[in-house]
Amino acid sequence: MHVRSPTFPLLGANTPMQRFTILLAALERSRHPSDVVKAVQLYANAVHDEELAAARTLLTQGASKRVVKSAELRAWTCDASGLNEQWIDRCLADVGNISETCALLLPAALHHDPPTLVSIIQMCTAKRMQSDERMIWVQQAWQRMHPEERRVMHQIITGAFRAVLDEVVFDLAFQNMPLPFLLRRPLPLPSELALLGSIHDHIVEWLVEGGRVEVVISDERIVLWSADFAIVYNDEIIAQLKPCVHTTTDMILDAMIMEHHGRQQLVALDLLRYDGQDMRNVPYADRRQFLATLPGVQIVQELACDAWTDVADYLARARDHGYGGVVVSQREAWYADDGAIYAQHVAPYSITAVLTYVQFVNENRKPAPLIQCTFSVWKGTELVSLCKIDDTIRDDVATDIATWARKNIVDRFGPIRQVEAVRVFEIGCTQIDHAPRKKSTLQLRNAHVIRERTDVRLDQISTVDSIERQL
Amino acid sequence: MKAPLLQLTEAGLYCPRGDFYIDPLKTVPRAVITHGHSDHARPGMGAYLCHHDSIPVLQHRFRGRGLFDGLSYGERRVVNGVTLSLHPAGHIIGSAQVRIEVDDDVWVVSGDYKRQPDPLAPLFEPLRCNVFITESTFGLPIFQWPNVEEVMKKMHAWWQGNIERNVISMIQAYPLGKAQRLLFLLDRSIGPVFLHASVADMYMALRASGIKLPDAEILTAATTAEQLRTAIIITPGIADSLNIGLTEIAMASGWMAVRSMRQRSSSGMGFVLSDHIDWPDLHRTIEETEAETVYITHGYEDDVVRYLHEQGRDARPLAHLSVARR
Repeated sequence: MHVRSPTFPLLGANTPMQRFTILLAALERSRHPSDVVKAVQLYANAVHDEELAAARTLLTQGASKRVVKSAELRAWTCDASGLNEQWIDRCLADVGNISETCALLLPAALHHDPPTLVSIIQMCTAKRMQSDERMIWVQQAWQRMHPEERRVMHQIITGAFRAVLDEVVFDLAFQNMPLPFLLRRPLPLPSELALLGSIHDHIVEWLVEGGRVEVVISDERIVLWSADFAIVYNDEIIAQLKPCVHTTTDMILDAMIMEHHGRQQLVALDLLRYDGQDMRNVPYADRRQFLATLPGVQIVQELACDAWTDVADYLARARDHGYGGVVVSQREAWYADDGAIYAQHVAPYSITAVLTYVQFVNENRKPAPLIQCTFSVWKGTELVSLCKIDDTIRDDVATDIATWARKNIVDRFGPIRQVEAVRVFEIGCTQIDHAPRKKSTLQLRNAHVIRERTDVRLDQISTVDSIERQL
Repeated sequence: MKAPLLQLTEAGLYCPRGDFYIDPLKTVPRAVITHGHSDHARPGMGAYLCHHDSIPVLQHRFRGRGLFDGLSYGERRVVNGVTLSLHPAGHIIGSAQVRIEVDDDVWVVSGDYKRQPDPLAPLFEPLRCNVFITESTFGLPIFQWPNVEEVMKKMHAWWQGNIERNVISMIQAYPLGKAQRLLFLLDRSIGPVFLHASVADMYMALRASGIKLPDAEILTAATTAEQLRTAIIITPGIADSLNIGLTEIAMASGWMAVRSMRQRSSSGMGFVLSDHIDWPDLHRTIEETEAETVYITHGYEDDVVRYLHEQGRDARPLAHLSVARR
């Protein structure tokens, strides 16, 4: 699997301008905010504050104005290279833009000592500089620059340098980065709940449905990250969180954006970091209590429980209260996938399906393999694909399936592996629709793996007919 | 006017006096080969004359089929009254310029060439001649090669950076020429150099023929991720089927000088390393040959001809030597 992401370190660069060109190349090839952040951080560590500020302005706003016309740039290039205008046009046709064409046509540098961004911008903004003075300045600079650096300078002075980054993204480099999200474990079957211990050692809450985000507050800036670590732009939510910034300038929350009476609202689920302290190992009960004291932050109501059977009652009533299920957390639970935090969705539809296809997805940022699993059910005497589930599969389940799947391949279709149809899973979903174009004629919404069912044989799993009867 | 020593026929560049072809396109009885790349050396010729070092290359490429005769650089051979000799072109192993002489009329066919040093090809030797036929792969003034040490510094930093973020480096290079040049240039103190199977093929063939090449590992199905942790792999193309974990592929080529070409390459990463002459070296070479007439082929013929005309030289595209035109 090939990656297109920035290259580190700065390729042995030793001048600010060279570092800037390398940063640009890295940004061009970055697909993910974390790559952008790393590239900007490396750059920032290597240049002075003034140069960094100039780079920030250029990258987020582009060049302010044109001080050299491209006709002037062409004429100066003709002078320096001894080539006429026709040659510039000829090469422009192959290169694609005038800044780079001129950069490549100029004679090789005598030595390497390119001007800084700061000095180029100073030249551009100097009030009393005449065109011929600018020409001399640029011509002298050329003799100390590599083609790639000249290209960037040409873009700046001709006003052709375009913004490539959002300010929010650039500034991420100087802020906290999101931490990995916790994936809650499935709640044991009702008969096995007692194995978790005493109900009094647990906190029971409603399960909030919506868009999961991580709120990262750093230096009075609030950034929302999605579960796949993309930036979520949501001014409404950020406005709600503003009061928090007065309390701390360093905090990370696990939260959910939910719809409430047509308005978006943020509900905090957990606290991961506060004032420079990693909170993930602090007992859940303490984290929750702390969350409740934060201004502008809503948390979910705790549900009074005296016995494990109460949990099932709440689960049965969750939809009536507008929630998706219940969350049961051990008071001592730490914030980790293997911590004692369990969730149970209200599953109006119970489906047992067999795993039939596994696709291994590369370029994963998690230690566990990222896989896409296809589950199938009977349609007559034939197994038909029902749903595909990927990133909601817990790491330990994914690792287990991946290891097993590699050894039990029946057939390959491109990146997809057909596996032996023997492993039966319970699948939950929030809704089932008719989908005449699908082989199974069914479409599941928010399908997720609940648990493996070793007690269900292949001939006992759901059929298209049995699922349709539930509709 | 003297009859031209060479003419362009359907089968390629032909010497009527000597009755031989240079890098012929079709099956002919006698072929003089400048170097082993497939666009210059084709199988099926009656007999081949080339530099000694090209013989193992051709034998490997043609699976041993063919009648091969080798010359050393500078060694003269009289063929039907035409004095023929081969001279260093600096392009790849065994690469040669073909010099032919009849009664003080000297023609030189450059083949592909570069003026930078190469570990397996002696430095290009400019030859005085009346007519010079030159390649023009990079015949536009935008092509000016950076210093090789600078390029390797960048490539090494890229390789090291990839190791730090657990990505395996792959460098895309022609199996014949660029791959061997990289074998010599890559710094083994960073990590081992692995060869992809199709690069390894040529490597083994050259080694078997007694040519000294630096050690390299060969990528096989048994190669483990641990062995590749700090490695760089020389590969002819995108080898997605390898399934060896995260890789970043970069290309080593003269085309990488232009940004749009880099962006069109498989990874957007490229290093400017060429086995051809750049624009300044093309014109330096033409000067040094003192040729009265220059024919341009293989690349930007029209552009180079136009430039040479502007300089007051007699220059023509090679097509002008075509039999059909006369």
